[in-house]
Amino acid sequence: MGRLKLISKALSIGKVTEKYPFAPIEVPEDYRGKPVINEEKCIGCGACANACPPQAIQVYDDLERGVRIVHLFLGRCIFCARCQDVCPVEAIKLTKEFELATPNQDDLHQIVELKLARCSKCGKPFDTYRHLIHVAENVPPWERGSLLLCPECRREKTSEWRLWGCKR
Amino acid sequence: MIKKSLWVFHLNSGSCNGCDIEVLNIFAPRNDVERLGIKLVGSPRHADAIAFTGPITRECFPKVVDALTAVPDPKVVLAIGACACGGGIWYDTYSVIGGVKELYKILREEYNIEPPATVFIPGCPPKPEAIIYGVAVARGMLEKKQRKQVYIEPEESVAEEKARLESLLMEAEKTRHFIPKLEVRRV
Repeated sequence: MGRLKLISKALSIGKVTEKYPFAPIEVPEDYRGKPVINEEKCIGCGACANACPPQAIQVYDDLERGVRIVHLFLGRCIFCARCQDVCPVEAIKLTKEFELATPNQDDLHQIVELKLARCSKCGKPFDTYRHLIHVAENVPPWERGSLLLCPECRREKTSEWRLWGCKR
Repeated sequence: MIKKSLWVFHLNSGSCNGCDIEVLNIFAPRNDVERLGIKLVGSPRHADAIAFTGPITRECFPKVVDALTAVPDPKVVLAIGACACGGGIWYDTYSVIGGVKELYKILREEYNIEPPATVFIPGCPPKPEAIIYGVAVARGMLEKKQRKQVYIEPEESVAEEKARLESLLMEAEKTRHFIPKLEVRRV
């Protein structure tokens, strides 16, 4: 008798199995999937690399070619969305994409190369043009004086300024 | 890689159990993968595929090699989770080898074993559907969607940015008299 009751219950519930690999499936509203860098917006500031717990995003300079490389390796990403929280220009966003499986590990990389500006005094590449523009737009005009100097030259200039006043 | 039914041996190499729970989820009624002919087996000798989780701790490394060599050819490794794919948050820790890629390097150099075909399923942990997708890719049922993306900033946009920066600095040059003068205190 118990078995018959079970059959009636199973019939009333019906099929619960999803048809997933043959039919698409919807993900929840705030699902955190694959992070994607918007290349047009990214300024190469390195805030995401600073926040990333497993260092899946690494930002480093190639001084010989004069580029800054933003390197995202999805294989190590833990989908915590901290990069999305700290990005000042909202360039990195977590999409709802979860179908990331691939037979080749090289497919899991995203690389963004941004051109570096050169220091006006010593000629060393030090920061991306986009980052400099972002900084210049966010400070008042009279504070943009030493924007094109690399950190070392700027330190020198500031110490001279502190010592001798406004003398140039 | 393998067209017929996959029998899977679940190998935990120091995982936190998150991925293991997701692996068990795909055998539950909601994502019942036995309809695709996939079955968990208790011994690597009976298996076609290894569901590989964890970053491979040093302690379990010899056991992992034993289990990998016990699986008959042709075999597939499903590297499930961030730890197995690239080391996860332990990728450079001293007590951990750091993902199947590093494991294969050691297998090639020290054991002279050619590593098996591998499907990488990133996620921490991956959704059960993501694991099913990885299995479908391994069996050739679906095409992979993921591609490597490389963006190199084009010359035109660099020139545009240079002009924009120069105009901003020109603005600064016009307003340079607003710079507050520092009073030099003589001692």
